[in-house]
Amino acid sequence: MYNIFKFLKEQWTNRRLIFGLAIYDLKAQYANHYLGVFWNILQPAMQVLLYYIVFGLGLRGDRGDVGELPFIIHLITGVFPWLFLSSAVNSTSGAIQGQLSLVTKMKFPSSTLISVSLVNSVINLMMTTAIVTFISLINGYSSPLHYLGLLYFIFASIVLTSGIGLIMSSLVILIRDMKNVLQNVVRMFFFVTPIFWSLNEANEIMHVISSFNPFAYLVMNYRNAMVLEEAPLYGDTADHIYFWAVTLFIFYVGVHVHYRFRDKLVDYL
Amino acid sequence: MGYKVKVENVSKVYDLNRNKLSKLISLFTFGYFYKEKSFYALRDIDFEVQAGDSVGIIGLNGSGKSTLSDMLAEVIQPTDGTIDIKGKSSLIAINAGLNQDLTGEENIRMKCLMHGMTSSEIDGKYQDILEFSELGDEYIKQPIKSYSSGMRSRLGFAIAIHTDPDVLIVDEALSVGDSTFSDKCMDRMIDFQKQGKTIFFVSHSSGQMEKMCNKAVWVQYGEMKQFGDAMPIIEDYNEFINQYKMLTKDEQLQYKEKMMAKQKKKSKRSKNKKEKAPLTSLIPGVILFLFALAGIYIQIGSL
Repeated sequence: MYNIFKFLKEQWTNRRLIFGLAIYDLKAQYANHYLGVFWNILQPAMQVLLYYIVFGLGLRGDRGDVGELPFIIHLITGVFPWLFLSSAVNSTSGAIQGQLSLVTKMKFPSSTLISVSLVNSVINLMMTTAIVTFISLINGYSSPLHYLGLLYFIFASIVLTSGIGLIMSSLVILIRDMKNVLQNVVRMFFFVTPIFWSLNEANEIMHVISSFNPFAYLVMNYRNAMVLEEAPLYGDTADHIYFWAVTLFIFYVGVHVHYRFRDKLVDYL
Repeated sequence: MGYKVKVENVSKVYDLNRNKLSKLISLFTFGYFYKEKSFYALRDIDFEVQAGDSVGIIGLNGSGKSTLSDMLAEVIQPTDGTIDIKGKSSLIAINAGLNQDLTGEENIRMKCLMHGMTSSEIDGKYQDILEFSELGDEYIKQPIKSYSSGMRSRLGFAIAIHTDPDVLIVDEALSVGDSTFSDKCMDRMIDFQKQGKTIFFVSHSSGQMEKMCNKAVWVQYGEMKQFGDAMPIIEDYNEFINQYKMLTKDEQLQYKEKMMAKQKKKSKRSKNKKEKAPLTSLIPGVILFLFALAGIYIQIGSL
């Protein structure tokens, strides 16, 4: 428990450093690109286009809308939060390894590197969400109060992904293979999460899988907040309890593994 | 006047179990179900340094100099004892702690950011760092991996002294630069001394140390052999080295093995303090685990 407070305090006291590094990362990432930060929108847009052709025009064919929503809207409200989640998981997991040569030679709270990656992912999410908000406002998909659900989505996502990131960032240094394993697992989750398919039309088995998939819970929350008419939060009481029970446990394990690992980093190399 | 750096009964234990699986087990079970094969890299180091002192750390290869300097830089934590440093410390090592894939410029910015500077502060210092490192505008845009070792250490040194540390730890970093550059570094370090900053100087050559240091620590196979004014210790050390050199190759090896065996034996004798997390700290974890199980149960029930 003490470690969790220590972790949160560390993020708070280093907040200036975190934002500084995140902004620097963003600048450096596209420093020599003509289109610069615009890639952060272009890349997801191209991905959506591809999925639309394959899953929308190809697989779905004439079936068209998902409930009241055009398929393309259903797709972007799944792909954008998913890209945020997957990039958050992947980048936090590699965060410490990427700066290993610096971290092992200076006094630096390496837990903040996790936050830097998260801040970066959130900035990207903001850009893509701006598009979704724009479309949603024009078509009047969701009522303005529902947009508050976005904050819940971000908060819940950060707790879950930082938990996963804290565990994986230590693990990938110990076992290099874990990075490949993780990437493949993340790719699998893309297909079992209701991103390009819809829960309402899916087989009963997919419902069962989704109810145990925290990413499905998150993506559906994003969709509810941004474009659906229903309640701002997705899921029943059992869904909420399940998500938070699992997420808090992962977070707890992550923080402890991180601190144990960090104090003896050199031993584990 | 108070101390600047106080090292109290510091020991560092490394785990000789290099097996990945056992490390994994140790990581995830918080130290339970795991037997450590401990090795004391350093044992009961104890000294105190005032502001403005320059301390040389000398010793043979593998005697624990770099472990000590890493601990002084607060990069690694001592297993036992405490190190109290008043102010910020900065470590300069041969490989300099630079990111090989980034360019020189990116490394400067990255490292300064990590030291907590704002980007406007970095803009102000960037030119100074570039000039001091003598790399020129061309090379600074190249990735570090294409640099020579001299260039790397120049850049590392330039960055480190511009982060305005209170305690500077130089780990053999000057041995790769040419003499004009190391002279420049010496000048800068003499400035630091005048400003009352503390410098640790790790080396196994005694020449530079005689020039720079007024105090010295002699580490021998994990133990502190001597600490005090520099000159007598460096003389003793030189004498020891000369004697050591007089031995034949075989005798040298024998001596080393004998000392290592002694170090290992002592490690074995010492009480094996296990690195366990206390049981009470695991209680919230157990509660959360039960909570997670309950969540899964509820979810199954709701299907």
